[in-house]
Amino acid sequence: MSHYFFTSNKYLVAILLFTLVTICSTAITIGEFKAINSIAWVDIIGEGGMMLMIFTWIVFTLISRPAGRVTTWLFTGLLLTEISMLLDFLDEFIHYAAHNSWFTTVESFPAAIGMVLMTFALYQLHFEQQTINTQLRRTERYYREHSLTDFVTQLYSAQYMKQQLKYELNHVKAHHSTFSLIMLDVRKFNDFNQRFGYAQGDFLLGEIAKLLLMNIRDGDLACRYASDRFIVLLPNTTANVARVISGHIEQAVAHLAYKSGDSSTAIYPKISSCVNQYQGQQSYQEILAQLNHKMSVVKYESTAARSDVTCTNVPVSN
Amino acid sequence: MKSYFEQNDKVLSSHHMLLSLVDIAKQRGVLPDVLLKGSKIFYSDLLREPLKISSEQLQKVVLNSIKLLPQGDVAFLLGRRLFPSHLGNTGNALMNCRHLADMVRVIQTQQIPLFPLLFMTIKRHKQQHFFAFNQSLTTLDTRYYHFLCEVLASALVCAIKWRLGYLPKLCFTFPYAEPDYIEQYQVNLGSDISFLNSVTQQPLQISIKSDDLYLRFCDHNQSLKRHYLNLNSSLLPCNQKAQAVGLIQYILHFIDKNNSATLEQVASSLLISTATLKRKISAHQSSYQQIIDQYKQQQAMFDITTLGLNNDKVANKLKFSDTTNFRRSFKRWTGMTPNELRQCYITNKGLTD
Repeated sequence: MSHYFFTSNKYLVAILLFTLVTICSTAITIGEFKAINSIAWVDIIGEGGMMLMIFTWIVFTLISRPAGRVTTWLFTGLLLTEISMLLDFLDEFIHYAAHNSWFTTVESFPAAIGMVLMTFALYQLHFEQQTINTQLRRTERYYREHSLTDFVTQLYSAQYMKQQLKYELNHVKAHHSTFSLIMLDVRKFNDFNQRFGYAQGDFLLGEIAKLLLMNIRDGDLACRYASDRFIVLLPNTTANVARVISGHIEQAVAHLAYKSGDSSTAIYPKISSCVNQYQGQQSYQEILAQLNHKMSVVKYESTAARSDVTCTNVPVSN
Repeated sequence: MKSYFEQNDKVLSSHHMLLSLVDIAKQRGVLPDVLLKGSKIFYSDLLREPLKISSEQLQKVVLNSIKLLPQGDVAFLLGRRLFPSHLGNTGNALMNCRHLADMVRVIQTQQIPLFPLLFMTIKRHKQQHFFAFNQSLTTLDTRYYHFLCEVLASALVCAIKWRLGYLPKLCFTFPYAEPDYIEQYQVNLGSDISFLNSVTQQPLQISIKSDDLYLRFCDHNQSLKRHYLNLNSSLLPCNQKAQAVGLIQYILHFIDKNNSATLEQVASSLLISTATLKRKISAHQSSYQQIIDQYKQQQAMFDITTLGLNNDKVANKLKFSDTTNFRRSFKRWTGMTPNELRQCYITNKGLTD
């Protein structure tokens, strides 16, 4: 991923290298090296360190952001600051003749302009982040922690849901309100994996996660619970409303004609769901255990009912 | 040919767990050589030929995987993939069994190709079968042990679901504290899961209704099953009757067969000196006395909590000279007397929290 952004910013990388090389070579051509004993090592450590830090910031900006306007602004601001730092650093080694002393007097200008540009860039970044936040609604509430996202579906994981449940339970107790949880389970997911491969299984979960997000309201939170099981938190919602919404999700998934790779054959995945409403008397562990138990019962009933049709399991004597 | 193996003996097949583990990590964006770091196994070697690896090496890779992929789902994914394709001839034999009880018989005879690091003992009581799984080597890292238990449980559930078409009621008791990622247990193993953290040295226990073991599968073929089992036994070296088992498993079996076996007897049956055996056991951070204690403690716990026997009977069964002696030993093993344990089971239905 970082490699991808690096190549998409390859012009900026070229500009960065070109600028740094030009400045270093100009300084070396027009100046002359100082004697070893007149070099202030403390200054070199301090200024060299700052220069390196800003260089690292530029690298992180380039590898973590896609190409675009805000990236260019951020890059320009950082680059100008870096130029000042570099000039300052080179001063420590190199002495300029009187007619070339303009080279040191200009050294603080780029940083000043750079700071202004970065401020502007961060202002733009704020608007960009607001747009991204609206894209993230239904998958995130109040708190961001990238280490809790699930690799396969890009939803948050069960750990995040537990944090939010704790928060919601406190909220519900304080305001005497209520909330509901929907649990969803993809039916026969293991069979799907065995037939189409585990990579396809992961893709299917990703598609179902997207459908799930489309069918819940703003303010709801969807997370991947574990394996083929999802969980949705619906604040201020009664079980009846939650049941309607889970019905919508079930219908949406039932109409998903999933294509495995290049094949045009459609696979219609099915999900089971269960709903519970809570007032905040139980702990989040109890709530989750109870909901999972309910889910197992729902699943057991649906599969046992079907296996009665396809195959009768009769006990035989030893 | 030795009749036992230890931590650093290269006896485990690489295709059994390692390849799937590498595959899962790759799918999650972890490079194979990063996962294998420190295990002295190289990805290119894995692809070239079937390798034999030691429990020590597997432990290194498993610990790496826990560090790199901390969501806790790797063991369960691995278990799901194990059956039947990664189990070779034994997997094929299992796919042709008549019912679960038939599968249990195959599992008992084919423990080494199936799951060399944990072994099974069976008990019955009141229309219920109890399967206890103990370690065949003492694993030095508990996270590795938990990982193995998770793989085994998940593989069993997957196999039962596959053959039976649905999951009958199974009760799991894991011999450690509830982990952070309890959701993986709930989703992969069903809702009847308990964790036993107040008493150590217990096995992983799975219980099922005895009737469920005899539900006949839709498709089965006894002659194919025998064929695959014969293929397996033809792979054994001709001078050997059975495959090597883990050292601790060997000793526990020996204790089980010969009541009040001494260290000298075990050593002579292994064809090594007592000093060597002592050294080998202490390399597993254990002692012969600890192994005997573990054996007796597990028997006593089961007899008291499940069978509901009184102290006299249990003491007699375990060949204690008198009941007081047994009570004192029991207190030393578990930190409570047999009666306190019974009280626990009467008041809050067990030791789980």
